[in-house]
Amino acid sequence: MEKESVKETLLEIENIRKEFVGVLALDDVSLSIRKGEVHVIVGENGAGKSTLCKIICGLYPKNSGNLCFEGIDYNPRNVRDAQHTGINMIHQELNLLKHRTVAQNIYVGVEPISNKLLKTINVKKMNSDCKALLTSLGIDYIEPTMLIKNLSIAQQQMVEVAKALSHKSKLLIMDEPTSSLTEREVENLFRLTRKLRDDGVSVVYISHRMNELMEIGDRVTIMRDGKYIGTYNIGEITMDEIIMLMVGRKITKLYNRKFNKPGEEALSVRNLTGLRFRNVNLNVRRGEIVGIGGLIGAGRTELMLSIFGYDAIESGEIYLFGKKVSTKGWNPNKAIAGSMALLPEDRKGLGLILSMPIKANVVQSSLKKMFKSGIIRKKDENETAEKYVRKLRIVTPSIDQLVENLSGGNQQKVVLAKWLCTNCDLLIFDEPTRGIDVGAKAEIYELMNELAENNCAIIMISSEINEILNLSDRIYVMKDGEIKGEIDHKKDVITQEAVLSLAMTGKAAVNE
Amino acid sequence: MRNKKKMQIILYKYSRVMIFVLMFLFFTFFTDTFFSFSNMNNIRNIFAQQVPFLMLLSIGMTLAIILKGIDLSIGTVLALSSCVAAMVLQATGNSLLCILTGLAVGSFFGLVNGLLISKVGLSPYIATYSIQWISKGIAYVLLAGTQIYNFPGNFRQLFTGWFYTLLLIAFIVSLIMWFLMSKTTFGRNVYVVGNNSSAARLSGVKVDMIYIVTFTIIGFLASLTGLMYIANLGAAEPIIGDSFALQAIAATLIGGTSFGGGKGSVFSAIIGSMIMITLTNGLLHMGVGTYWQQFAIGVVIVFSIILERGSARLLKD
Repeated sequence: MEKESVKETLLEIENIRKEFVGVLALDDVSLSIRKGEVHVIVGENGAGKSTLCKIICGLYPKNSGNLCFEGIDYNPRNVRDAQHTGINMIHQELNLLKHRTVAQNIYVGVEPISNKLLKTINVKKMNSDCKALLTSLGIDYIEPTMLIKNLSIAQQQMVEVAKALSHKSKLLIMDEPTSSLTEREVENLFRLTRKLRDDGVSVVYISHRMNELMEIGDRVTIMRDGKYIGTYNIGEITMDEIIMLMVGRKITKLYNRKFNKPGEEALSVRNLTGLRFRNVNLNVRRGEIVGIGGLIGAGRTELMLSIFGYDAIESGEIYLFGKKVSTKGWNPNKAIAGSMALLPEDRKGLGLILSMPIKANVVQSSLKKMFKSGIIRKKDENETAEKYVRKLRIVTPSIDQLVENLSGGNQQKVVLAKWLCTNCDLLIFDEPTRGIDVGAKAEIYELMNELAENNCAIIMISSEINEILNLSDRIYVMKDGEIKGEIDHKKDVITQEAVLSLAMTGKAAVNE
Repeated sequence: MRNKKKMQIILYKYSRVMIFVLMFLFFTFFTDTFFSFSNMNNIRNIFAQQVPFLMLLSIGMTLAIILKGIDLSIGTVLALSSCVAAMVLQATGNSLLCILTGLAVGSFFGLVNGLLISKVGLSPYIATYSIQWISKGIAYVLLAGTQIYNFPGNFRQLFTGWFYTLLLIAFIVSLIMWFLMSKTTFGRNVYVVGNNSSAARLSGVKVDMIYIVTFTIIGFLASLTGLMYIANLGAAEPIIGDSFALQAIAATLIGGTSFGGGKGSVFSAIIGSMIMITLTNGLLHMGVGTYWQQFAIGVVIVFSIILERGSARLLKD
């Protein structure tokens, strides 16, 4: 798509500065958003992308600097001001009312009224409007009357998108809208974004997925440590250059996998059946990284939660380091005793105790082992936490810092520290790098590589295709709760087509 | 700027102690009978005969609230266990047997609460609310509208032989509970479960066990308080615990424990109950009627929660 004529400016951002108690989040940032462009902003976690967007949409006040929208001074005091001006934002976090319907969520506060006096809501009109909106988004499999709590995370995210699009926008800000969408929904979203752009709407797009920005963006702005680094036309800059500007150093190789000779069998699962998976057979050996591919909703997370004893198992057998475990009464406590560990996809909800300090989180699963008398020795707790903070290079002022104040990458490192502290031999990583920036990603991959080298067995669920292709010894691909195939890096060349074909159709790709 | 913030944090942290001191000074200056060095009777009475009960119950309530729950049955379990204990005492004259029975009854109902919450999956509100009715019902049935008084043997002597025995018991139990909650792996796991029980389970915490043990401890504390209460009063009857649960909740809130779960401490429970009793007693000495005292407690609770919000925000930044 060639659009050479320079478009006029919609929003001019001049010398914006924003300080949170003691931390400079934005340092003299200036850039301009043109009319009808998709402007991608990239940067590591903490670079200030989200802060900038929140200032634009009226969530945070700025400390100094100017915003100029369509040539007029623009000073939003709140989100309503921004919406009146024509600026809407799709947030990273889901802000939906769980027990209300899709339509009620999309039209909350702007419901169509059927009786002016009593302000009764015209439910019929609301639902039909909603249906039309969802259809235009290509997500008509979501019904206006469905309850949010019955939708998957990906579907909820699409409702969030629909909600933002139901307002008339001149500028639409999307903060990592695709972080939990499936391939098809991402395509729908991109199609829509392009349509909006062609209609003259400007889109500011934040993403951690590098290949997305090349696909959807017109221009890209790079930020680092609260500073503006530069704006480039897509096509005039390479991915490697962008990454280098983002992290400020050169990442030589993101995936640096050394394959080891597999050792003894760590886990073997036979005919395992549970609520969301059937007849699963798989095995992992020491020194291996085994990928579990598939689309979101294929039952991968549920399978792993059951193997770890968190969810129930209906039938089948689990062998852990050669020994058969009793699947009746199998629970995380026993799994941990059997040297297993699970880094969950839902890091904040299942992996961490957010409002407790780093040190408490690090020793949490080792309390029984470390303090046999049942009395916590502060000194041991501190020393252990210090050790892992150093070892995993967790960036924090102190081990007393609450985990909720850490960035995504550092939070994931704390989860990993918790399990390393238990001396586990079999680790299950569920989407290990979701929402984590490039720098921390490379570090997590390096750690996984090291663990495999040190004779640990690793299972990795991942929806990020490059991650699973480059790190795995073998890949099992799941669809609809069943394992549809296995790909071995030694026997076959693991390709994107091979994985995707199994994940989507359940059949091996034709060339095999 | 950093120093200023540090000061603020310290101020918030010890704000309850300051409120207590200020309240104490206020009533000392503005009434003649609340406290003076020539007349310490009132203060001695407060601390020997009122504070110990509320203190122990608030500690129990704090445990429940740390677990993101509540124990509405604390007062009626107290009443039932003390009535059963009194019946045993009357029948056998054996003080030791009476005490053991009382503690067993309280612990048993605590255990039932814990089982209902963890194994049956009832919410703490529902489970303890039902047990409140059940234990109250049993107490009424057992005593059939009568009172038990004129305790035989040395039962009353054990608890009231020395003027400060009750306070001493409360103090020792507080120390044990403080140690349990802040120094042991059990205490740590209670906080972890209260914060996020799913994450706790995935980290290998036996979540059901934590609920069961904690609520059993709460039941034990309730029955211990009940024994102390009837020994002090010299009589047992089913109505004694009626307002205790609400008072313990009030003291816990005043002490700064929030209902969000995962937060709170034995110390806050103690200071909360001291503030509450000083307030009601002080107002009484100023001639303010009991109706207005209730009003005042409500105001102090609201104030306390606002204070807690402020400190939470401060610590977050």
